[in-house]
Amino acid sequence: MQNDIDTVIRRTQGYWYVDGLGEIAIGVMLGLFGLSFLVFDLVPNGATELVVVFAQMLGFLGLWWLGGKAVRALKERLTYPRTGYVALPRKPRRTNRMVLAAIIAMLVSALVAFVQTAASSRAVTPILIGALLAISVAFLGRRFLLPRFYLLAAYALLVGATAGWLGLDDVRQSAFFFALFGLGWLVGGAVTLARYLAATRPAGEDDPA
Amino acid sequence: MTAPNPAPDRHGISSVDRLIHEPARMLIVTILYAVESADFVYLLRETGLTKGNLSAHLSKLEEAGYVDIDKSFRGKVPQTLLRLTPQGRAAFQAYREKLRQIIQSFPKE
Repeated sequence: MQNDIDTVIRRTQGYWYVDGLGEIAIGVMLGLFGLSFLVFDLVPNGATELVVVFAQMLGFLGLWWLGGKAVRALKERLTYPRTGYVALPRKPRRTNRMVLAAIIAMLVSALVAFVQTAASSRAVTPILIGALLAISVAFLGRRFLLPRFYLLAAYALLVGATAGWLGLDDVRQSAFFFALFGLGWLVGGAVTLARYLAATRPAGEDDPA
Repeated sequence: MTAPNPAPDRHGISSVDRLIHEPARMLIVTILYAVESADFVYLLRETGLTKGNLSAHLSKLEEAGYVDIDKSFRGKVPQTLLRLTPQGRAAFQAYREKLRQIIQSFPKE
């Protein structure tokens, strides 16, 4: 019975992923982020490159904000009329999340730098990033009982290993990795959305309890 | 003539919250425990109950002070939003703990 209770709680908390819309948005963001690395080929080294880095960061944040708004708007039209509305528990305060994200980013950077130095090989970086992302995605899959996320985790490992094996330069390696990883999210999300739409119909009018 | 003494209730089985222990209500409370709030359509779908049945269970939970029922509009669509009250949340936590104790007290085969 305890297992059943836990299953219901996890399934409910994973409701955000029921329609694949979030995955599609993440896929688009990662794909565009990956392709944005190719801009570095068009600009000379130096100050212009810094401007591009800054624009890339700003662009990613803008896409994140826009993606969130688009997903919420689509859920209002597609998901809530079909399978209902759920407000998930409030997340930890934004400042706490930002501090946590900064700490994780520093740890990952330090780990990547350490492995790169130790291995003296460019090939290790995408493999390592792929492994870290695979662990994160698999964790999400386990937490919210979403088996398709295990496939995505395996895909992250595959893309990371392929990017390492190809031995591309830094810019192309990043473009290759993020564009293909984003494509994986996009395809997974699109399949999930298609199956969700096929399996559900808008409910009748709300019945007051 | 006196009634025989009841068996001692060592594991507190009889003190389980019967309002939550009913399977349909347990499912409703479990779902609401996991979220800030959920609407009637979501609960209807997840529990598999009929509208009338779900309404009846929700009314009982509301009477006990476990659930808040808020009727409003989401855009132009009427929406019945449900959330566990702090009392309902505490009752569910106590219920889970009680169940855990009871299950742990089972002899191993």
